[in-house]
Amino acid sequence: MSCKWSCVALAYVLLLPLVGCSLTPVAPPSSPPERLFLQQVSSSRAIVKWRGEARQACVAKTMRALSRRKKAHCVQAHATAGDHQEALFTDLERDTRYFYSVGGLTDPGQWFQTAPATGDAPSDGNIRIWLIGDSGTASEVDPQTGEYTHPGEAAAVYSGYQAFSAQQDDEPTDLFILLGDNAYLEGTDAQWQESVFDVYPALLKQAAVWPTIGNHEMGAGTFDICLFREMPQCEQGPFMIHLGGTSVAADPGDYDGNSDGKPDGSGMPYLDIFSLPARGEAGGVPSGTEQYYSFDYGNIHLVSLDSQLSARDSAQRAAMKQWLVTDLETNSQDWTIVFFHHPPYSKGANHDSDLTEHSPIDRPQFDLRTEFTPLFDAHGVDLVYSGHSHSYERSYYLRGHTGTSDSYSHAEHAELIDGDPDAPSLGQGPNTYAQVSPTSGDVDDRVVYTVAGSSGKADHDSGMTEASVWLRHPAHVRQAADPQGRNGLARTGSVLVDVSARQLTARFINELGEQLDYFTMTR
Amino acid sequence: MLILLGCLCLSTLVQAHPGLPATLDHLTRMIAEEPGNPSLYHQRGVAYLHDQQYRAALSDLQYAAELGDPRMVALHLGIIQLHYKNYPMARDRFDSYLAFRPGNITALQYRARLRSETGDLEGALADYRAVIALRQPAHPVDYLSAAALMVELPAYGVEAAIALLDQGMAKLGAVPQLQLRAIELEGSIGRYDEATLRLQLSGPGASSSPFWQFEMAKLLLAAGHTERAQQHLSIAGQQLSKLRRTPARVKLADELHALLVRSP
Repeated sequence: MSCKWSCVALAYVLLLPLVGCSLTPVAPPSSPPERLFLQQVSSSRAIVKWRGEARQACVAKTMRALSRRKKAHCVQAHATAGDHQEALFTDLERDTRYFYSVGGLTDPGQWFQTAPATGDAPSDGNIRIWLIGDSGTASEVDPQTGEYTHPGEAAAVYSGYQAFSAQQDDEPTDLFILLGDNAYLEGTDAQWQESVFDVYPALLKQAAVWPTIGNHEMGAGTFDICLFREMPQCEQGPFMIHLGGTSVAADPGDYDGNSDGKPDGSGMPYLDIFSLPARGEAGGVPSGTEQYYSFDYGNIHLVSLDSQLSARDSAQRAAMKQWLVTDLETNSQDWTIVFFHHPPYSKGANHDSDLTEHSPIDRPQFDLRTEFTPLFDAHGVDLVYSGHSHSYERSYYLRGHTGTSDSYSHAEHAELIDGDPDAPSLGQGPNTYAQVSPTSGDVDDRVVYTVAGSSGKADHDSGMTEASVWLRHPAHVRQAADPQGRNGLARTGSVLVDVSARQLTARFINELGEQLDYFTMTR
Repeated sequence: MLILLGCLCLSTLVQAHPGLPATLDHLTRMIAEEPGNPSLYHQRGVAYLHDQQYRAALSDLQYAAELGDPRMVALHLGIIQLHYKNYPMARDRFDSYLAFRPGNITALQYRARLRSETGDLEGALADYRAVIALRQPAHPVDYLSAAALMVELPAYGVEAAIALLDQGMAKLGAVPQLQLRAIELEGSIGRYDEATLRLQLSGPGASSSPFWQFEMAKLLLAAGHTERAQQHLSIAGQQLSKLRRTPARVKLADELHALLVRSP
């Protein structure tokens, strides 16, 4: 060994315990990435993505092998939109933990687990999914005071999930799902940094993130503030503003992030930040667009629909439906989960699903309910997750409900206990939901719908929703934890889903780490 | 300043998306207070348009055009005139808006629809092609719209439409939105072998689906390959027997049975 190399090796051995990261002997390490996250982790491939000066990433099965570059697999990154770098690793072994370095920098927290083979449950028997909706409050600032409007609430929800998980079994998160509105108010790149990359950095290094488009991902729309607020200025006429989350455009090219009323010309940051499997790279049928996509993870098939853009244009919506039908026809996984932002059923503040047919902004709730829920029934979808309403609402085990809430009946639409029309099953205790329901003639035609839009803030009043119906959608389960016994919870929290070969359990966990609702489905 | 004021009490506002009746009521009150403001009429006109109240929308938008810059409301006026099939007027409005905002995809799509309805299929195709060139990232629906026009145009025809769909798939991957349409078009001109080949190429896992086997059987039957079709129907039946029952699979089983009865 030359003096040069022995000196490097000595320095490496001496410095490692001090700095907590290893230096490769062949190249000086880059500075840490501004953001580091995982995309499209499947049974054989994974993307490591970051922003920063590093241009190479390596993987190995052990930290030791990663430090010895001869035993590591390294690839050059390529630049992608938004000044990101991404390194694609292929031919990975399934259900295997890989440690990785970026630009020569390693960290014991930088590892991912590849998915089990398609159709298989993982070796540890369980797939853990964490879902958060409308969590993007870490970048929401009151312009009058300059103060954050919901300081620390998203982080508290994350802590609550971690605390609950630690109490249970401390099993790592396999899939991290974003239900939209994850970066307030306009979904700018800076807001994504503040609301996602700065809030969940450790998780993003270990679990692939799978997002969907919410209304706030599409920037600003034009609004008159006086429609909502009596202010002295309104006496002079309307105050037209360009407000985040109110765009009704169907084309991502219309994205307006700086609220000047004109398209920025740079497109949606969401589409720049995320690398999504439009070509079926992670299983599922290719969609041809990153706006909606599907993927397999072990024995689960997951679908992300675009309820914000594609749903607003009839031709685009028809194309998305055709793709969805083909995708679900091809799917034979044990479990199927669909997620999108706008909830088909909600009595959340400001987003009453009964009032959406003629609401330009919330019309997707109507279209998803009338046009897509029949497809979920027909093709064996098990769970549907949305956000948008800043509350938690979870349905009974439903089928065939495409109308407004006044057309709902337990007898017609819900799974019943012993056929009693006054006893819809909660999916708890001895009354777990059977995937192939005996009361449906041994056909898998029922779905549980969940609104999980309180991962960054919870509504404190009913807003534009009539107070007497707030959180009282009859298709939703009455929540024992709600002080008023309503069919929903105005509490911050998130959803944890554990999936095994024969059983699936979904839980709502509040910011204190307490489980406030759950149900179990078996197959 | 406007944005700053607009952001007052933002935490409440971002949650508050009003229903249409509330919007219309409020705008009507505002117009009563300030009848000379074109922006108010524009807003109310768009609100009426969203509610498909075209006459009310037209009245407001025309007045907004008189009061202010007519180019600002030209797109929405064009949409209303298109609804009433006042094609020259609608065309004039779309052209005006596109001169004001060149390359606006929504306006191009509406003008393409107008041109299509008035028999100017070449013009409509040109607009859709412009959309294909402009939209980033590309979207399957643009290729579908353009291909539909090509089928109608003698200068292009089915083969050109299929070629355009293939261009789309070269860019987007073999997505079902485009491939299924290409298969349908191949079948429409009797090219069942090409259609079956396309179906075979529709993805590595596709043949594990009984729905795929059924579609393949239908194409083979149409091409006169009865024996091969029967094989696919048999495979579809076997696959269905191993999968849990869903309403879609139960329906497929019925269709499968019916097809077997018709082609024993």
